[in-house]
Amino acid sequence: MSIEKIAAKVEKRYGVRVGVCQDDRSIILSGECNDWNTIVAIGKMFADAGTGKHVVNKITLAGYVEKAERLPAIRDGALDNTDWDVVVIGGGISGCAVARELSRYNLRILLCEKHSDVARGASGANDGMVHAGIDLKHRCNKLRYGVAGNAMYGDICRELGVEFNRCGQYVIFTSKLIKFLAKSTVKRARKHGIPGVTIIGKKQICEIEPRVKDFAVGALYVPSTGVVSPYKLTIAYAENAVQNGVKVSLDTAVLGMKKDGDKVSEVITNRGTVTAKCVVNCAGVFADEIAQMADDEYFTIHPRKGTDLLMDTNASGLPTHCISMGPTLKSATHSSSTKGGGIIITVDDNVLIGPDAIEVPDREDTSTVQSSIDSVFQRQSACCPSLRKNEIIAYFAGVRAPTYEEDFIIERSAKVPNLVHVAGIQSPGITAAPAFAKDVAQITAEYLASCGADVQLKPDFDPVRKAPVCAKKLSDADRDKLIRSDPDFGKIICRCEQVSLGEIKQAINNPLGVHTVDGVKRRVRAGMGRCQGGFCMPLVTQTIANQTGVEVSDVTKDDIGSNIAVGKIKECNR
Amino acid sequence: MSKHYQIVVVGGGPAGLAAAIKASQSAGVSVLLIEREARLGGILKQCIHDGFGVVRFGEKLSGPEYAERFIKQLAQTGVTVSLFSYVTRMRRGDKGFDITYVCKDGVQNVTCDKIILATGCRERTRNAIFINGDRCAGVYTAGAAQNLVNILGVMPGKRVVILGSGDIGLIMARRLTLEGAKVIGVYEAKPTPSGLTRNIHQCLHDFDIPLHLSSTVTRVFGTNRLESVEISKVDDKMRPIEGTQTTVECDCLVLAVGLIPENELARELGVPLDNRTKGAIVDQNCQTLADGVYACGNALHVNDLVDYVSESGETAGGAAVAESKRKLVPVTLQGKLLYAVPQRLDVNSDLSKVIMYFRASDELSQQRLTVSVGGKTAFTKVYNKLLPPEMERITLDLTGVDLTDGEVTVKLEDK
Repeated sequence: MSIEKIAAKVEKRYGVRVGVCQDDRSIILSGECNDWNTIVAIGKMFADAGTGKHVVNKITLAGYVEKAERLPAIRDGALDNTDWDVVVIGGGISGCAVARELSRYNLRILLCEKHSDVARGASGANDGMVHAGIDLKHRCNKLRYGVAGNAMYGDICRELGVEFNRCGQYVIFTSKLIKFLAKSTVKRARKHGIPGVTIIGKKQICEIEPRVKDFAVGALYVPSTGVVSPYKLTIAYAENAVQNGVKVSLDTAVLGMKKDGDKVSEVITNRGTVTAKCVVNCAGVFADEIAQMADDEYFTIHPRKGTDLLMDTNASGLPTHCISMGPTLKSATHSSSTKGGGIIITVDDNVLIGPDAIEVPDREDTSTVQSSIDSVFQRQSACCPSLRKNEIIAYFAGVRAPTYEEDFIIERSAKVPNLVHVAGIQSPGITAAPAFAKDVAQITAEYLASCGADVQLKPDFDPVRKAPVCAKKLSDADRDKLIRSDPDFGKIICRCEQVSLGEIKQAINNPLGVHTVDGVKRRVRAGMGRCQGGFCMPLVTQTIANQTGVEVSDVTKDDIGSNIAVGKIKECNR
Repeated sequence: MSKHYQIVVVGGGPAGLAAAIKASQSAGVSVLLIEREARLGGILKQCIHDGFGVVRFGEKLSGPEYAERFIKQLAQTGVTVSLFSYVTRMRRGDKGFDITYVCKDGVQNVTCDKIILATGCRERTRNAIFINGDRCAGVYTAGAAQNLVNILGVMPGKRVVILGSGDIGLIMARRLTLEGAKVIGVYEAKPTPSGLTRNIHQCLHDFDIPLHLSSTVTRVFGTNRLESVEISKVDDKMRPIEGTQTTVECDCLVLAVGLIPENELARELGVPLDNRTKGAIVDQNCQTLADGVYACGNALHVNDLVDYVSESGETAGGAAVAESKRKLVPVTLQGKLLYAVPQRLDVNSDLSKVIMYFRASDELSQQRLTVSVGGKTAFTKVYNKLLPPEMERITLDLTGVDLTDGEVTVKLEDK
């Protein structure tokens, strides 16, 4: 369909007049509309038109004042006048994995992350499922990198000292017809190189997961599905990158770029202006804005929020396997932008359920809302009716970063030769990251070499990052030995998750220099249990102060300005 | 070889201290007290306000002073104390129970005949009551806020909203005011206050802090620190009423929204819990339905006064040294009772001084409480006023009452 025809269709369906123009890469939309979901739907109509072009959606939401981007509350010259071969923008899974793969080469690499820790965006707020890729379309980057990435998981997690559990997944069927139709899924999986996908019968699934016995008629078994802690993997990538010479600069936001001809020459940050031979855009929900800074805007990110719920480990009626509801006859005929989520047993043996998918105008809207919690719970508890809402101990929301084409963009820009985009990364982004990071590193290295740089693989590259000690998972004998070598490992600070002072000190002294309460939480789980930090938060705060030599009231929960306390007692003026 | 104790007490707060002291007073009984934190005293360590010990000592002590009396007494006994020690495993074994705990000296294994669980309680969290919104700093449970102020000496905020009129919420309203913070108000979802009447007066009225009933916090806003909260009125089922939202600017939200008995270890030992108290089901000796496992203090049910916490610790400690073959009869509740403890009576042990604690489910006046056995009244008392926040205590003498097949009923009804 021609884009003029689509514009006419849009006007008929939504009553919105859309300004449309196009160049060789994109269809560019403009106009105004008073409903955000309509704006997103319009963008999708153009993306799905089969033009092969990206969509830049500039339709604005009437009356909406965009929230100012959260920027670090610091301005200094820490990075001023430094020269880098590669500047990686963004410390999510993409940026950290890319930086680590790039650190195999003899390059000077800077990674800029605007928050006080890595994995603060979608990489830190998703369910951690390592997808098999059974529901992905043929011939797309998601499938290509998703399947390749999945296969790399065992090795990469071993190298980086991150727990990974290839637990498999069961998609539950409640209709015999759907079960029959699933044969095509099995066939497609085989064609896509997804190993071992089979259909199992009612008896078998009910033996494996008795919680589904009242309604299951069978299940699709997907053995290559796994689970990982997405933030621990991101942290591990970043730490291994640092080990291999990458400079990770936290609290560092990219504010602009200077160009020399068609190339980016300088990157402007709140910590100073740096030069870059090549820039890799891994900016997640801000990837389109980074592209715009380089005058290279050819796609638009439309933020899509997802909420996950975490159940108490002692809750009754928990399932023991990763399960999700298969399609129903109704849902099978409607396309949807999520795979519908599911129930996951995390690497820490928590039961996590979700997520949903809500289009939101604010890229950093990680607030939770009751309607999402209710709908996620209602939807997912369908395949495990014994779950109880009052046994939810935590919930969180993350914002995905899809493009309108709903595929990953992993390429060097056609217009700005020294800018590589890693954009539109959403599910299965965690799964795909190990695979696309290798390609991105290669694209970048080849480009630098083509410009005459002497790019070599470093002989002393160390792929191994030592796993942090987790005392509670050791045998009694090993734990005893550990405590005898350092008594701090016998002093339990977080009672719910059994985290010792030794582990907390180790987390505080991390290679990235993250000294926040939530940083400790992400690394060793202190505060993640059922009391949610009620008991250990003051102790963790105090330990950070002791270890880093700052005042207790200077310790932050996360970013600069998120101080746990506002000052000392006796010094408080109203 | 693991070291063997007759009794292991888990938890060195007021209940555990009392239990260990009492148990050690029987000649020749070996007792180990395992405490998770670096010092004894439990939550009393951070409760620097007064009002502790009025029932027991007839004077108003601070939390640390109250604890100190027991800690000093404990030092005179032969109780072995292991501090900064965390039980990782508990199970039945050949010699009663096998217990594994970690401390600075390594992984320790001991065996014992009896276990007394005095593990206290924990606070309900923001997530448990579904306060949605941003994930900023400045939202703390009352206990955490109390720790920040009284132990670490820092202020959790300068403009404070308190949700929940439970005692710790009220105490913190006063404490933060005394330290110079502005407490904007205490909000309570229920139509009646949750804390003791004396605390409403001493902590709120005396400091002109408003108490807003039938109101709750429904959302929090803030990028780094808390910036404001959304307050909603709630209906009689405590559901927020749409359209009643107002925004209150503040930098700190303190949550005093309830306490839950800590029963991780009880669970591990297969101890059945009471859905009403969230603690173990026990007989009048604080023995749970798992033989040899006792529970006391706030781990058993949330008490209003520490004096009763100590009392139940003593009951457990005193009973655990005796050998008994139990015969249990259930206690059935009727009428507007939130709960009553004990939930069972052991017919084979002393029934001359059965201490029973109960709470009414609503604010009630002119009530009669009747304990009857097989239809015959064994005890009765009239209450002019009953408030759910105030726990009631009665002593029953059931000697000579035939309990063998008679049903024991506790009934609360209009006079």
